[in-house]
Amino acid sequence: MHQEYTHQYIWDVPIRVWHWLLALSVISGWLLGEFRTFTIMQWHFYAGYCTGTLLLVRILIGFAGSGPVRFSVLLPGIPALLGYIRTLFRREPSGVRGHSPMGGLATIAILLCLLWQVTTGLMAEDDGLFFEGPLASSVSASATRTATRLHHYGAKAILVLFALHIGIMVFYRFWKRENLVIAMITGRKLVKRDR
Amino acid sequence: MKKTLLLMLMSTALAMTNVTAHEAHAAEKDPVKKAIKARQAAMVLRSWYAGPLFGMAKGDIEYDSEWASALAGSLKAELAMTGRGMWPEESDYENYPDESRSLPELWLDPEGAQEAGMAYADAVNEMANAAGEGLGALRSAVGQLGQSCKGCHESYRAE
Repeated sequence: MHQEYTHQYIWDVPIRVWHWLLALSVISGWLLGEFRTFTIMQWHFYAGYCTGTLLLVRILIGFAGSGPVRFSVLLPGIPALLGYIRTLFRREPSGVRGHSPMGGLATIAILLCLLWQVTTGLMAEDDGLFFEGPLASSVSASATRTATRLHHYGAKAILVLFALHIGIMVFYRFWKRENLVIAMITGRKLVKRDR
Repeated sequence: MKKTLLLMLMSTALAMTNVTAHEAHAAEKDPVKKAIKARQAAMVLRSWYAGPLFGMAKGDIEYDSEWASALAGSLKAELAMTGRGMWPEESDYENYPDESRSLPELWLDPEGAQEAGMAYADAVNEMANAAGEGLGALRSAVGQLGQSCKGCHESYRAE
């Protein structure tokens, strides 16, 4: 089956480093937030600043970068998306040079969710631990309360997206016989020959 | 004629002021709202005294053992104030969404609420012993105090 596929170098070093740094900062930030204490709370803030910086970098890459990382490529058209969903359960790799239409959509959803989380976090507070985001004192008390609530919803949304992300990696690995994790480590991905 | 008009205007204005003042006062006549205000006042005081202790532990404020002791002593003094009557039934967030953030769970789970209150009292007593004993002692006491505040907020307060 793999004869119609070739391993191609798709993910360059910067985007791979970016991906794993993001994974590190989001996972550590999430855990430090969920299990926050007075002692570790400052590290939750640092993780948030790292995530925010990485998001800004990604936004630049998305507009100015080239190839499969561009937002214009990631945002699929409806026909492409529907077409891909129809072939989703075929037991073969997607063969796309980059993200599949669903993968592109997922990437944008993850970026938006993280952007939401960093933005609300800047204005949120934990008035039990007496910590507040750097912008909390610049907005009204009710805005801080809303931001705090939205930040807590965001944490749940991140957990759902994380579980989906891992679940889909497992689905590709065992159902579609494609190891996407290795691809994000080596940069080499299965691509259909005729593409 | 002019005089009568002026008199009428003045009396109307006076009457309106009276009505407004009366309404403002009436807003506090509800005994449940009064109780909510009282317990929130206690919470504001706690936060007022605890704030600088957290600030010192963070390093935002320079450690001052005398001030720290006084702050912790004030928190301890507040523990001695009776809260009886401050938590009437149905004074929760669902019945008083504009006034209260206390979740109905606080009344549905009295053991848990009691436990949370005890954890706070323990943390305050610990703080009262530690606050004047140096920054290291203050820091560890702040950790416990923060945990007790956060624990109760998470379980029993609307977001």
